[in-house]
Amino acid sequence: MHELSIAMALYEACKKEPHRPEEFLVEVRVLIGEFAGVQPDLLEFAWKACIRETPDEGATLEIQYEVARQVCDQCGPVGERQPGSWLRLCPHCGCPLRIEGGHELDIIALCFEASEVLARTIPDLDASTCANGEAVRACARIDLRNHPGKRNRHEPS
Amino acid sequence: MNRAEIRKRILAENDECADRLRSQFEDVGSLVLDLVSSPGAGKTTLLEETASRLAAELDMGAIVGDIATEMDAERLRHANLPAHQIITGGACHLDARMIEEGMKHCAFLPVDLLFVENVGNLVCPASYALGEDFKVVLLSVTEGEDKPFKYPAIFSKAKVALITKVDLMPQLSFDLERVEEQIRTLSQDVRIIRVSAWTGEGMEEWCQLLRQERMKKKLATGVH
Ligand SMILES: Nc1nc2c(ncn2[C@@H]2O[C@H](COP(=O)(O)OP(=O)(O)OP(=O)(O)O)[C@@H](O)[C@H]2O)c(=O)[nH]1
Ligand SMILES: [Mg+2]
Ligand SMILES: [Zn+2]
Repeated sequence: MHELSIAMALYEACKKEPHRPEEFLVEVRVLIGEFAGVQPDLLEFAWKACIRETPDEGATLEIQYEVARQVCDQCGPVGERQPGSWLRLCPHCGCPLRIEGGHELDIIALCFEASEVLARTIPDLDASTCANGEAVRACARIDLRNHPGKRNRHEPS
Repeated sequence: MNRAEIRKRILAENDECADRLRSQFEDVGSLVLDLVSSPGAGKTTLLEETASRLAAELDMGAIVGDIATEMDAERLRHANLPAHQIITGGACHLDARMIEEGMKHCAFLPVDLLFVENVGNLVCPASYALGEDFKVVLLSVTEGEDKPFKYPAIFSKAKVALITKVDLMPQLSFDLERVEEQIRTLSQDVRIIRVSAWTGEGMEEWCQLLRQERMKKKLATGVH
């Protein structure tokens, strides 16, 4: 239900990561734990809605899903389990099992790519003037959407 | 191309806000609990009953989240528990920002014990820290015994699980042991209490837990 809030928070967090003003977000990779309450398809759908008509439209979201692990303090991690199926006790020694992980809701990788057009428009802006760059990027958005330089980055080369 | 491997919480901004709230609560020694359940499990009724039992001992207040209406806050005020309603306007959970904003309208703060009644929802509230000391999950006996495994996030995170409306047990075929086993599977150190706001069963144990936790917080923060 809250994938849209998550997608919005994700986009805000991406924009805060250091990058040059002429750079666009092209890819973000996230780690979603079993307990995060996030449905990967819904998150992807919400992500597309969030970046629509922004300079970063088209940025891909890659979701790595992580199942929570059950661990025995004596024998270590219990082998592969299906999401939603749980063991109360260790199959080897009968001790109660601990759960590790599952709550992950993390950004693990980001990729920005420079647009040639923007690089020409704002050649002297560096990362420290990023906020300013945001505005320039927003203004340039309309032109860029039809520019081959922007289109290319979404097509396999 | 600028590719970076990082590790950053998607909800980092919420977490930062929750940390600010937590330190504000520490400054005044308030114990803060986030109550989470599906709609109608009995959160407001529990708070009404808790307020009447602890009124003479503790200063209490509540912040209540609902998608629409002021009704829960009105019920709590009627039970002499000062309350502020947050209307989320569609959002299925409270976030730290809403609490920070809502607190500006809480003339009753600071209190010894602040309850946050979250929006009725077993999924989304689990991901959002609100600056609370811990989350309390409520599961009513009319909801069926498969719920902990269906909603593992909140059951693995909550420090206290209340099985509510146990007065209805004679009418139901709800397997209490099985549910408690599921909850323990998801969280080793969870405290489970069976309660009924109707008959008062378990209410003294719940109130005793609140007294102890409040005392711990008071000692830990040095605020008296
Ligand atoms: N039999 C019985 N009914 C209860 C008990 N506690 C609450 N109820 C009833 O359950 C219904 C829902 O209770 P609420 O306290 O409004 O539940 P809630 O969790 O605050 O609901 P939302 O805020 O809408 O999510 C009401 O009709 C209550 O009277 C109880 O201990 N026993
Ligand atoms: Mg309520
Ligand atoms: Zn073992």
